[in-house]
Amino acid sequence: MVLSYVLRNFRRRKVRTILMVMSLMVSTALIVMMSATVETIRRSNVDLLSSSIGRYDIAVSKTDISPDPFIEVERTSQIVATADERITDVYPRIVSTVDLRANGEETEATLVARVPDEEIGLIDVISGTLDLENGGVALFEDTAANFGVEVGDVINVAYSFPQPRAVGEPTAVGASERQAVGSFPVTAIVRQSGVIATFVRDGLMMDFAYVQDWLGLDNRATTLITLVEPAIYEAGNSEDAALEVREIGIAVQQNLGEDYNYSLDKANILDQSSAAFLVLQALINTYGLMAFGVVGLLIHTLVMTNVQEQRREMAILRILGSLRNYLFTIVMSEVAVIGLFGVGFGVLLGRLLNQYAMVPWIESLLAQDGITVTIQPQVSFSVVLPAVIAAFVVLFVSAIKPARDASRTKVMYAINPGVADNIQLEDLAELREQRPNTRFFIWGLVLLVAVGLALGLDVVSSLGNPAWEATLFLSAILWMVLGLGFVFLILTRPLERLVLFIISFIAPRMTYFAERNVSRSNKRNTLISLLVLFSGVLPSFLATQNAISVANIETDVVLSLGAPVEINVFTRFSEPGLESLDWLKPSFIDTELAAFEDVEDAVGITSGYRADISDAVGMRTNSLELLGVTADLGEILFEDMMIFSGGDASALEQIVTDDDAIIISEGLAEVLAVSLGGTLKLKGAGLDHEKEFVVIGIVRRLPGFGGFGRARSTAQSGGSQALISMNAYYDMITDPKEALPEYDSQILTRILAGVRVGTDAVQLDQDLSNEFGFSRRIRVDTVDAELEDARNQQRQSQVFLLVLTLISFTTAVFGVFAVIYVTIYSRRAEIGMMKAVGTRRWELTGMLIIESIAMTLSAALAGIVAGATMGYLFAYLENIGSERPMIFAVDSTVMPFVIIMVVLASIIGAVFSARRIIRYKAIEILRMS
Amino acid sequence: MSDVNEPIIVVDNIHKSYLMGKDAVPALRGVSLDISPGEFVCLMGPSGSGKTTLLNIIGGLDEPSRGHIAIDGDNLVSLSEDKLALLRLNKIGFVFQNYNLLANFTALENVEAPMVLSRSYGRRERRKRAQELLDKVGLGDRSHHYPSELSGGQQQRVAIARALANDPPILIGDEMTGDLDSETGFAIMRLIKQLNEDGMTIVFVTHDPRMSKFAGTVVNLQDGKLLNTERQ
Repeated sequence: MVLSYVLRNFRRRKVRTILMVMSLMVSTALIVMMSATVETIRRSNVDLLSSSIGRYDIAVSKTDISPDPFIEVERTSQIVATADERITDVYPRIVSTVDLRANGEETEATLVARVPDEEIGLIDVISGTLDLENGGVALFEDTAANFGVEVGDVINVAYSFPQPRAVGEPTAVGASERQAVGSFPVTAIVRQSGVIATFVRDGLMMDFAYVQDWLGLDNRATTLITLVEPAIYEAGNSEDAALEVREIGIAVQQNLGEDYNYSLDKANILDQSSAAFLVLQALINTYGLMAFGVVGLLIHTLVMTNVQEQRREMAILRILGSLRNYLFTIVMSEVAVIGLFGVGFGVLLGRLLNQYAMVPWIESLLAQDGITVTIQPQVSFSVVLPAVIAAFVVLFVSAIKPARDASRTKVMYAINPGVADNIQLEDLAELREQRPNTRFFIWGLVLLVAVGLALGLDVVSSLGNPAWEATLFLSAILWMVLGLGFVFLILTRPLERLVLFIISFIAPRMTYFAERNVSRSNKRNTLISLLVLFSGVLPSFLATQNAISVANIETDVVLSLGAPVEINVFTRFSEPGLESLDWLKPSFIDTELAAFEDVEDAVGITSGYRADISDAVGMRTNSLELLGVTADLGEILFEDMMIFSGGDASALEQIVTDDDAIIISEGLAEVLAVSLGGTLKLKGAGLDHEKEFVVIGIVRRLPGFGGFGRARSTAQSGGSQALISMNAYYDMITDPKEALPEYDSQILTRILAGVRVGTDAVQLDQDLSNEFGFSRRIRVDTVDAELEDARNQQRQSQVFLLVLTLISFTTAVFGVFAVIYVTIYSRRAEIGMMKAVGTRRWELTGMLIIESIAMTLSAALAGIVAGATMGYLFAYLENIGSERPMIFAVDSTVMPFVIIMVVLASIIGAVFSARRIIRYKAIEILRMS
Repeated sequence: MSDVNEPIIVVDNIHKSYLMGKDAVPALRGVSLDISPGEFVCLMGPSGSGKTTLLNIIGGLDEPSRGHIAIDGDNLVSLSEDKLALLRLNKIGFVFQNYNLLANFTALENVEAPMVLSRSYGRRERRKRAQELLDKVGLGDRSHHYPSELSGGQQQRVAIARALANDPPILIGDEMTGDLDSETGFAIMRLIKQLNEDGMTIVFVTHDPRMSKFAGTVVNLQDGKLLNTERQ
């Protein structure tokens, strides 16, 4: 009985039913699609990682202090293979950096010599044939392109035999370095995936046995590549899989001993990525809740309208003897059936979208990055279940009030609707009954959620669970969105007036009617405004942050690098003392770097030396990081970014030669309460080592140096930096009992330089990297190259934001559509009357469109203002703390997109909803209503 | 405006049937009627006699299945929907039983609405005229009240003022006093009578014989046919 009544109702209200099913279907589909995509990527992660870092599990090689740098293949392979039964294959390789020469060019490349039956990774032959047995070389695509080498050409390869490092010494044992040089024909040009890490762009592949012969390494290899059972990764838990591989690695180590290095790159990255997936899933779940919230509001509205329309019927049912529970069940059943269809189709659609849209898209993106991989779409029960539960919980919550309203239908609605709302006999019992005040209870809960979020974040961050941390953080963001929505709702009214005022210039007569209807229909306006506003806040917030970030890219890059060219040294060693073995000498600037004519005025900067600093009498003390400089930074640092609160840029010149001068940050000056010309004492290395300095500059901001600012807290926590001369620096870092080091010692960790006018900075970046990247272990950054990278990243962020906005507004559009539909439906009498007095179809349609646009556009604008305000506030707070100047910017992609979507939804919603009713004659509409 | 002697409303052999399921149910069966300018006509008859159908056809709200109807020389049957709307806007004023006022509009704005649609008055003139019309129906002091703040009789007065907004020659009323108590009903009819005396053609439907006494002509309908015409 209930079901047939419900189904009959659906037939009566097709559009409303379709709207509810569609909105549920789309939101469920989007959430299932996103969850399934994350699940698919998570499950395919092993495959993806294998493609990017090599399709093997453990790589065994000798340590650099082992007397014999090569592995004895047969014996060691046997030991490794039997170390753990989960090891399935062991292959020897010779992997090394070699010098490659061809067509007059020279570069460093990675040689990979492997046995023919090793089938690790995919090799895509672009030209030629993969014939390596007679000394043939398969050259990597990029290398061949760089050298202009084709199949049939001959290349020269120089292999330097590794020299073991002496224990406790940074240098190699033995004086001379042995080298083997050979010429080999290129038989193939290839693209590899999973043979070796993807970032190895320059490389060549050769036959293992042939290379052994060429190098005279009988039964020797540099590396043993080990594979483990694939089933280890199929359990689905990345962390468990990584730990199991580590267990196997330990077993191998126990059998081989400490003379070997064990590289578990795949397990390592897999382990690190597991937390990222948890965070991503938390983000999707939070977004899902938001989307379902909007859908819930929509369903609540439509079901409530249904109940109001059915009021008389329900009253008749009550007269006929129906219990209140029966009416309640009818409404709940109606919603449950809608839920079954909507969620069911949604899950199906989500799966299809994942399989036929997301997976191919991800595969194509990976292919662009040179990773060829086939991803298997995964939609498990555990992926679908949260979305389904969330959808039904939202449905239940949305339907509970309409269902309760239905159950309270008075019989008087059937007898005399005009007086039904007055107090009846059946209301008396309710009036006498003492009930708990649920409104206060709900407000209590709302307030507690805010407190719970604040406390929860503290607890969770101390426990260190990334998924919970992300969930709570995103819940806080959601809370902020809700709060902003409610606060900025007040703006919708003036914005409505503004929108109508503007439209009145285009269509004054239609606006006359729309204006009154919009400004005097409080209830429906609030609902539609909330729907749109909530959907607009988050995209606008993120878009504003992105826009500010885009507008400030140049400032950020300039502030970060400090000068047109920045060179940083990276070292092989992490142990204190040993790291300096790779640092540069000041003479590097005058000799090697000077060979590059485009580089001008290079200044060397020493590593940071931590020292205690105090005022002249030691009343106030602090710690800081001391930096020595080789030349005048004022020549190369971006001048417009420098702010001196004491002294000026000439201090940067003075500091080079004045060994008693120091430049400090404004924050430190305030902490120590010293001013320009004041005296400070610094403690150097060793006992009783103290030196006085005169403050010649106090800096609020120095581009390229993060330790100069006005934040006292940073200075108090020792985050402040100070500049002194090189001589003074040597003096400070040397124990007075020891002799001062030579001026030209390995002491520089960073070089800042200018460039000649008209220099191609990106090319210079490449040239410097090619020249010194490996040999001097440096990383070169130029402002232009950094800007290019940053802009590319920003473009990707914008695409992501647009996708987010599209998803966010898809549900909102349904909401707009539904509310407009219900609004128009409930105003049939008015429409009939308007037609009767002579309003034409197009005028009525125009009027309804203007009303819709005014209601939704004002809410969208309020959402944009809310999101943008928050975005500006966040950016301002972030910048003020880090002493960065900020250019305020307005987003020009997401926000217009939001406006266009809202206006389109309004127009389509109004036209679609009105099209039937306005076709009727006035008298027919009046009869209907 | 037509000649005084020419009928302003010509109803010629009007037939109208409604489809009820698969069957056509006749509502009017060959009704013919001429109404002169300034005439005060009451359509009477029992329920189902076709009086409201005839009124709706005269008002251009419905179209006949067969026959001709002309208002002030315009043949309604041949008019497009837009032209029919313009005719209603400029030549006919409507007063409904349930008032049909715009809920979000004040009394003044409800009266203004047809003038906004017709574009025949400027903004100030429109306001002034709306206020005058409200004064005329005795609601000058209620001009800024919303319909929900007015009694049934007051709402019907607003509806009458709205019907007069574009100064139409014809006023059509469907059970104008049906929802009102006798006293208010008589007051409304006195107002309508006054309008008629000012030269307006009135056609209205009622089943209350007391109200029909206000009319100069009573047209009796039965089973969709014209039974007789009484001059009072």
